[in-house]
Amino acid sequence: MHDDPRFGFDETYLKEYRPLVAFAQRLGASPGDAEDAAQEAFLSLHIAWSRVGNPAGWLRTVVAREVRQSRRTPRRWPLTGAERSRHDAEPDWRDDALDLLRRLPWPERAAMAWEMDGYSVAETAELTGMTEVEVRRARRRGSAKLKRLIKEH
Amino acid sequence: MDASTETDAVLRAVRERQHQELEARIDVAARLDDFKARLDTGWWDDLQGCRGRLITEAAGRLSPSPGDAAGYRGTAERLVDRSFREALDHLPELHRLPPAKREQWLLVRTLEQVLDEVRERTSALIPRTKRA
Repeated sequence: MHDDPRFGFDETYLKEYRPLVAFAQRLGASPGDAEDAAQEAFLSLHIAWSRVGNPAGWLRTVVAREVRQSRRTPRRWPLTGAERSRHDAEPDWRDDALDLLRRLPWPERAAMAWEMDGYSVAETAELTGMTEVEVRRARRRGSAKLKRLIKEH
Repeated sequence: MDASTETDAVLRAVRERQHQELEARIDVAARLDDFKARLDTGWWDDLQGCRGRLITEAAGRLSPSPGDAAGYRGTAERLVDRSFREALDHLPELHRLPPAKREQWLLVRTLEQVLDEVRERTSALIPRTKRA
């Protein structure tokens, strides 16, 4: 059950929607797919609301499963027309950095995406079904590969 | 700056960039209005309608003979409840399926649970058989 009944579904939506889309993009989803995955996750949450004790973690678990099922291999972020224009007009190295993150293999990319949202090793393990050892290993390897990619870039 | 600090700085910058980009691009209040306007959870309510059929099917599979199925309804209900709880973790996937496939998804999960239950019971019987 939800700990605080005053903190309702709408508040969760308003607070978590953008971070959830950002999380999906870090996992490799395009902007459009990330929003679709977020909307689907909120639909699921709406149905399961009374049984979910940790909505933010639960939403990320659903989104991660969605992104993983729809994209078996990391792909470059296909920008929409408007985003492409803005990207070309205002090139930002941080877009390239996001792209580097999404070149990591799945377990490492996922572990780092959870870490970037402030989830501890124990929380990540509980929510993803990985062991704590696997989460630590994925974070360590992901970080090492990212360093290498940054140097090469 | 060492490599680790440099990576942390890059990740922080990515997070900040995403925050700025999504803040500018996404009107969350409008998304919530749209979400509510299109909210359709009727398919999940409809799916509850197949619970009885699943329980009957599971009880029949659990029972060694057709006449004993009624005695297995309690176990069957527990297994079907577990299938529905599992379904909650796969709602987006179920949402995309046509209605008949959704019921089939639950039937497959339930039959897997029945199989596990039968295996557990069978393995629990083996030592007693050996002792006899």
